[in-house]
Amino acid sequence: MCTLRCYIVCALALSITGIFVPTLAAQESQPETPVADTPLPFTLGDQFFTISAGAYFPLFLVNPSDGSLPSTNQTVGGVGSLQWGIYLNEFFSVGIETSYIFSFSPNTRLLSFWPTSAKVTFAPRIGYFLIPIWLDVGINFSYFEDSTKADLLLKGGVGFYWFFDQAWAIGLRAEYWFIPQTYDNVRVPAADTRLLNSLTTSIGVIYLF
Amino acid sequence: MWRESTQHRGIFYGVWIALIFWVLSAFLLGSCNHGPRGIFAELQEEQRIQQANTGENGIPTAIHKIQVGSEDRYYLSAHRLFWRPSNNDGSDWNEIGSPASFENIDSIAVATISSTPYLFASVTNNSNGRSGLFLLNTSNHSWSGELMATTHNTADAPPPEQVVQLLEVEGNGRTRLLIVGRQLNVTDGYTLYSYNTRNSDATDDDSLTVLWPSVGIINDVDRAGASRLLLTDATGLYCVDDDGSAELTETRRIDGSSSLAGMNQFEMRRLVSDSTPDGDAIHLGGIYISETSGSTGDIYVSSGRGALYRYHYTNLGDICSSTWQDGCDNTTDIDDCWGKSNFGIPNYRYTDMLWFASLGRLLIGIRDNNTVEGGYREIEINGSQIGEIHNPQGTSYSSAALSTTSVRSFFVDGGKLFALTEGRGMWRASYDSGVPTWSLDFSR
Repeated sequence: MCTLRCYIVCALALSITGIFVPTLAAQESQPETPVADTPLPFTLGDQFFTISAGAYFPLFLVNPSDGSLPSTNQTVGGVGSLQWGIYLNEFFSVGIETSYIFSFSPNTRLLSFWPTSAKVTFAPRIGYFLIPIWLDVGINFSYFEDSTKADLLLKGGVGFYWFFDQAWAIGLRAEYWFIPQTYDNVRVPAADTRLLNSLTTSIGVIYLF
Repeated sequence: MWRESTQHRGIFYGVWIALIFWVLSAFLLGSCNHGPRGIFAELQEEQRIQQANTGENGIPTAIHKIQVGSEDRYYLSAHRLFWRPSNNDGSDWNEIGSPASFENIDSIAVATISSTPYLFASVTNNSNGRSGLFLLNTSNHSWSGELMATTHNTADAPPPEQVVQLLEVEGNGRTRLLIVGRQLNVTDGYTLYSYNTRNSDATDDDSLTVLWPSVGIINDVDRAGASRLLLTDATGLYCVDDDGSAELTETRRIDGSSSLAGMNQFEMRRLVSDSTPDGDAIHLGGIYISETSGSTGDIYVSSGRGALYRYHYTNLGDICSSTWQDGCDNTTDIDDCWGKSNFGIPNYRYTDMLWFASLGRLLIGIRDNNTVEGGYREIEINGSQIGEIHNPQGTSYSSAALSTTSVRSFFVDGGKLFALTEGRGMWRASYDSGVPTWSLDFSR
């Protein structure tokens, strides 16, 4: 079973996601906008999916007990993600994203993450280009051998997309991940607390609808 | 299409996705499973396992250390025969060619005769399945002639055509090889042979004798003093004793051949069998005799169901005349009787046991009854009391394939511990403050 902190982390992340949905529900429906040949400013209710795949780069750990920055001892891995979002206005959108990340230990033992997060994005568009900047908070599930651990997840990222179609865009994105994996001496020594810092870079495709 | 959808459709999707997100998260949170260490912390400390320095085939079956000239060497049988200096663990294993017509090196054993070690190898011909016993000249790595099959013919049984197991028994200043063998056309039962190495040239093939015809599978043999053998077969644990004279000699045979005086004075007793109080049969386990100072000590025998039997002795000579007694389990109150320890790991059987002095614990290889998974455990022995069982500490063990495969046997050289596994190579470790650092020394 998970610790109380796990549930708190979960509830926090989920509540952030939950806040936006009822907010949107309270909005009145807007008249449908005619199809245009050039991208129009985003308006409330515009939705999109983003799918991406790329590389995972573990950077370093932080050991809070002594302040050291040890190596993660993880290999470069892979990441794939799926995001859904909805615009609140011309520049801001909210959404959720779930990903899968894999990496290996020095002895090729598989380490995998399943992060899910709520996302707030500021996405200015310049002509056919979109430059989203986002912040996420959520839960990361770590899987390693028989161990599973749920931790808070904080990440931020930036992307650069080109709309090659009215509804489609392709681009690059980079995210910085911060996963504080904390223990409290209940079953695992508190000295094993580590804060993971990592980076992902990927190619993404956006579909607007 | 550009912005064709209505807002209420987006809200509909959003609600559903949030709901799925919530359900999935709650489900996954409920399945948290903490290991003994933090995941990132364990990973941080994981050390890369040193890979074997040879890519040759073979499951390691036996390893011995022999001094050749001024150099100490390890000899390892693993389908072929290999050697390397013992003081350079990073050096490559060198392959020694097999005897002509015998491609496979099944196992090796060392007999020390007049302070000179002799390395014997049981070999198999791939085409006809026939085995042979050869002696290796360690100075130039040449093979002697086939010792037991070409020239020898015992009066009571032919020499084995196939060697199943090769063991060594020391006592009274000399070494005997025990050969578990069979004829190729015999499918049930094996024969236990004794090969006497009393001659200084270690080639006295006339000394091949039959100790025990038609035995079941012999799993392990160890010595209990000068002249008493403990061995197990499919039906129980047996003790082979003589008539109390100084030694087992090649003239004594189990079948009481009239031409060999004294043969009929061997005594065989079943000490522990299926009729033990809990009906726990003895199968394929290790036998370990503690090295207690003085004349007292303990003998541990493992069972196929993960039980550990203990015999606390005050006189090794009484082993074969002792009987099973209730109340002998895990206590020092009753001497010279067999009992079952309370120690056990459900669903696992024990493969080999070894007292590792550097750690001060009994190491016991374990194997799942249905798979080859197992690894090993460390057991505290407090005097004659079996203490707690421990998993080896450190990520070096937990991250190694050794931890998930069966350990066939252990070998110790000073502070170095070797584990010969079932198909996952031979591993080597040294302990530092109770934590082993394992590396793969030889792999397939």
